[in-house]
Amino acid sequence: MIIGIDLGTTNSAVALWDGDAAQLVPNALGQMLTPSAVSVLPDGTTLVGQAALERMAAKDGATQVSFKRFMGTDRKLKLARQTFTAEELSALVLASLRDDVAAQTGAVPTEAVITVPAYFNDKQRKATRRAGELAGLSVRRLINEPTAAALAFGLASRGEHEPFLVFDLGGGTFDVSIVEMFAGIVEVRASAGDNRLGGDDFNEALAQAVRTRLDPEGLLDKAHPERARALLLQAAERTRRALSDKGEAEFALTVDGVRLATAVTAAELEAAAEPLLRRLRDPVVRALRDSQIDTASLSEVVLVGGATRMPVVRKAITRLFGRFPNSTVHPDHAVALGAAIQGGLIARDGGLEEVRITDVCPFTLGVDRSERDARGNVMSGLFTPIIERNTPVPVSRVHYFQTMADNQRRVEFGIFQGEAREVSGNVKLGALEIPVPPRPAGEVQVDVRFSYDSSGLLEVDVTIPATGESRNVVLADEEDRKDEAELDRRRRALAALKVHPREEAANQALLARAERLWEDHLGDVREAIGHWILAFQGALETQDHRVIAQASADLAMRLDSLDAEMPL
Amino acid sequence: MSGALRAAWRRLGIDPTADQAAIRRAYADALRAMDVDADVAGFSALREARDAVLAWARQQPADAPIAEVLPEQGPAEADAFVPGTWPHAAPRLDGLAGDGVVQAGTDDRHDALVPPLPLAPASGPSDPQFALRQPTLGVVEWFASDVDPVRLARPEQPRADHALHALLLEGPGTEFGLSEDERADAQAHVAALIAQADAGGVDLWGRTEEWLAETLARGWPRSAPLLDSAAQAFGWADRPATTGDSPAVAFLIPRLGTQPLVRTVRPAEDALFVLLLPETGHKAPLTDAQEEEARQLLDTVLAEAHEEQVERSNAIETWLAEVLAQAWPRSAPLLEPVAQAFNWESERGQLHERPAIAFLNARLRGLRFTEKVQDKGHPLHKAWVELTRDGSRKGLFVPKRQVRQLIDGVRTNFPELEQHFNPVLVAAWEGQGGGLGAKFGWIAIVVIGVIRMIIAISDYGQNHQVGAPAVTAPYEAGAPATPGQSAGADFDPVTDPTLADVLHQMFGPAMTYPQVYKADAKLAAAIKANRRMLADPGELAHAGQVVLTQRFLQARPHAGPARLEALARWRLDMMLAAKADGPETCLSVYHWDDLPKGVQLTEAALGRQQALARAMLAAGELDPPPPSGYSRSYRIPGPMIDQIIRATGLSQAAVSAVFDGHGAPNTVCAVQTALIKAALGWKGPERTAILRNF
Repeated sequence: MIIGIDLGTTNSAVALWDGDAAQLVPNALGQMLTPSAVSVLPDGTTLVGQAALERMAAKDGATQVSFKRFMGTDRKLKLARQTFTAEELSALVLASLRDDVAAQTGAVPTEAVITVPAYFNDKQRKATRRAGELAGLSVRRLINEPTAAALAFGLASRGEHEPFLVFDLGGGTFDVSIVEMFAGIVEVRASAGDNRLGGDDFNEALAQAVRTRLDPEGLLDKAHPERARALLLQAAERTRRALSDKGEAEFALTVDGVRLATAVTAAELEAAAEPLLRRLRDPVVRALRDSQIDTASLSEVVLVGGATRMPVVRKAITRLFGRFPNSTVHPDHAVALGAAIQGGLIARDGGLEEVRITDVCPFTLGVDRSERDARGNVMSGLFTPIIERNTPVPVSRVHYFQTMADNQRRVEFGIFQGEAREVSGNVKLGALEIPVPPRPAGEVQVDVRFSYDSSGLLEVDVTIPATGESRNVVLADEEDRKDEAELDRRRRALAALKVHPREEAANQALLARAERLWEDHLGDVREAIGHWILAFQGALETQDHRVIAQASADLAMRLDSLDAEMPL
Repeated sequence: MSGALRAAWRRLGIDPTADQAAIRRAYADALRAMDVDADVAGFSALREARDAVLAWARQQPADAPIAEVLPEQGPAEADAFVPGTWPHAAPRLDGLAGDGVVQAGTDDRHDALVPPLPLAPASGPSDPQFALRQPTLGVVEWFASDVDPVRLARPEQPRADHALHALLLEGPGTEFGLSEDERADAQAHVAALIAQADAGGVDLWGRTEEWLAETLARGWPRSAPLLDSAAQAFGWADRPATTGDSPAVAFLIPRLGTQPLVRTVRPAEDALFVLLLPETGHKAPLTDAQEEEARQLLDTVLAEAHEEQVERSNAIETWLAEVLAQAWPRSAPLLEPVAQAFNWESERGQLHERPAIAFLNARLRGLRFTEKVQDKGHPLHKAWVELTRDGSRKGLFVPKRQVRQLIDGVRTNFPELEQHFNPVLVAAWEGQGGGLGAKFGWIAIVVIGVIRMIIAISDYGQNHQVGAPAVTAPYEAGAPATPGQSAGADFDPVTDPTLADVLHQMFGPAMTYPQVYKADAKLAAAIKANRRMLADPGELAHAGQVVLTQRFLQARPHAGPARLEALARWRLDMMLAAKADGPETCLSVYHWDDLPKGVQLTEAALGRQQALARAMLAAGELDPPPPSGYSRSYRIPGPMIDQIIRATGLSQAAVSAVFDGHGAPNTVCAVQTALIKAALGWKGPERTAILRNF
């Protein structure tokens, strides 16, 4: 069984190929989407998902969300007294999804297809792969989110498709892919994106725009900056969602017993989002240009990602393409479903044998080189592309270089990814050094071969034809081998974390939600919520299933009615 | 069929077919049969084979028998990659490159006139095919001969057929879409014609159908808004195209219901263009009133770009970039808002940074630096104040190191900022002439935005990954065929006398097409493509001159000393020929490298040009790599400026104004010729830079 996982910035989801169709697997709360949030309770217990999200603005600052943005970096994210990397937090989310599948099927899955934003760079992809391994999942393939969505879209409607465009604006990343389907082939023609643009940025922009008006007395400045930020972002998210349905909504939050509120109109959101909306254009232009397709010959514009629900985004899309987008696929489910289909394909499931996917490498890969300018000065750090962006993969390309100095003894190559002319603007993936025979400058030839396979694994071979000497680096392998022991240590550390049993997840989420509402309300209501919480905690302590079930249903109903009353 | 194409069919395992679905199926079968990760080379070969035959298939009319549609023999066709349909380029600027000149291309079937505007993708590659089969009758006469004019239109109004023809096909501006007024008029004309035909019997009905189809097809995509009503009247809408249809009707039927992107002339863009690039070509700064007006126009243009869909807004972006770059420094006040609107700075330093934007980004940094350095806290502020003040003696209390740093930094990064400096003081600080005699002290720095090369680059496609030109032809409306001179007709390049003439003019009497082809197949293909499209021998000769000029200029950065000198002398010849024609002509050569049609080089100069062309062709120098940058700059040492002043008899101020981009045409012309002469005689190290870049 190979499960398909959409590891998102805001929400994650898991799906299975059941031999006939891809099916989403619900979490312990019965929801298809599990928030990508991790929180640690004062007693050291770790919460994942909805329960953790509810604690986002809690005073202890022990909740992390949107950590996907830091994938592939060494940034330490604090949770109570411990620190984690983004891949470790992602591993916790993956493990919780894995358990959801185990709960439904009775067998613990060991293999997965995980999706990544098309524009994720090599480092971010490797971090994702490691996260899977930390969660005890062997990652059979990483596939690009828009490709997965295209797969779900294409297989749902079956048949041939003229080139269509997948517009994937998620919580933290933005991808555009142009895909064509014919005769059982899913062909990605080009992908482009911005891996720093998503729904979170709209929240941020909205929060920025209203902050002074909302809080003229600077109450938020007195709170811990991270908590203030969390409160603002949470309120912004609520307001943004509310603005999807109506022209005006309230932006409200409660900080230290004071309720701050202001009305926000859709027009204001649009104004605040303007610079972000403008950033949607560039990747679209790039993908169209690289694939040599114009908007008129696109058959559809398929929307994926929660942020595409926003009316301002839809409006911008309609303007960009001069037509209304297609919203037949579920923007939050398509990616996980596509990943499950890919899993089925890898497992060679009978119902699927016909389909082949060809993808592209969405970024340029190359090495640095030096060169003499007209005055004889050496300019170094220039980027030489070897695999140009949007080349179909797998691909293998070779470039030839020469030595620069007489009797040069060795050649060094840095391996880079990016679109800048100077390597300083690109991401360094690795380096490699090779000795060369001493000869006059320019007489020794160096062949550099880049091979990029269909899982996004890059291999670099450097050969000196004169001596037959060669060096080979498989970038992913090397990094993995280096910290195999480290990986194991981290896996054990994560396993040692006290995670709430799955069956308690619903109760934990409910409790966290009640606590959030307690924070949000004042006076009598707050006092009442305090009583409910105490009553519920009492019921939990009885450990009697029936009592707990009854108490939980009561509390849920009360909180629901409270949420409905909230003048949001 | 070329070997490469034949191999591609073999690779796919099918017989040649124009059926794209069959090609895709064959590709899919082959792909499924292989493990791509195990056979990477096989996968690339399969991809390339499929792309090549799909490109070929797209050129074929769908129902033509294969034997007829196989492309003619020619090695270039192996690289016959599909022309991109991405509309591009600076609308009004192309005309300046010399109308209808094809620069380079791998296969002339895909080459086309540089369209004056981003045209409809719908007018795709198959259209020239139709153009080849057009009847060669003059349309209006043919229609008018047996129709009573009185029945066609009320006497006080122009005849509907004449008016419609004029609206769609005549005069400048037909490459744009119809404006709203024009559309209303045109629709009225179509309705009138249909009504009259309806009343007039079968013959007139048939003739009207044919004439209207012909006119709409020729006027495509400008005619798009009229297609619906005509299609309804004549029943084109309810059926697929059949073999019995006239070529025009067959052309129109697949286009029913399509909405090609056609630019409509926008008053704001037009006005902005005129404001920034006035006819006289001088680049004086905008006056306050002009600047205000330009800003308002720009707001309109930007708002429009914002509202439009992606291709169109992209076309506006490219257009603005080219116009601002060309109009630099006049356009300086507008740069900031435009760069912000299109986020140009995010493109800085990228592999795919468009040359015009690279040029503007560099200027933008200069502007920012100028602003920052005015601030008292800036480390180079004192040095800046020192160098920009009046006077001729070095100031006290100014650290020498900072002045040095400023001069060096400005020269390396923002050469155009040197115009703010007081040259006498710069010379004093540099230790030349000790701040005494101004005459030998100062230097001029000239920055040129390489407009002419842009036009050449744009033919390489906006994207460096694409080798083939990304330009497709409109429905050949630009070159109305006249009897006896059918431009589109097939001709044999080896025996064709017109082609021979242009080759003689370019390379001297001894040169034949096969020789040129052997030396430089791309160049030969470009000349052939021009021959195919330009009926008028005068136009063709001019095109030959432009092609040669651009190749020469592009070769300069790579030329050795002797060749560089020869190229400089050739350019001098060209300027002198232009000068003889008038100062405006001279300016046209200076700015656009375009020796206007009808202006001749002297006999001796033509001989020199031909000899140079032959030598460079033989040495393979006529196929230089595309220019890598947009701007060039060079320094002119003081003594050389002195020479120029003596040679032209102009004042120092007048000469320096020319180097700042101002000056009347005859002054510019005189200074530039004097500069070339002075540089040719100059022994110093600056010589090469000037000869390469002037």
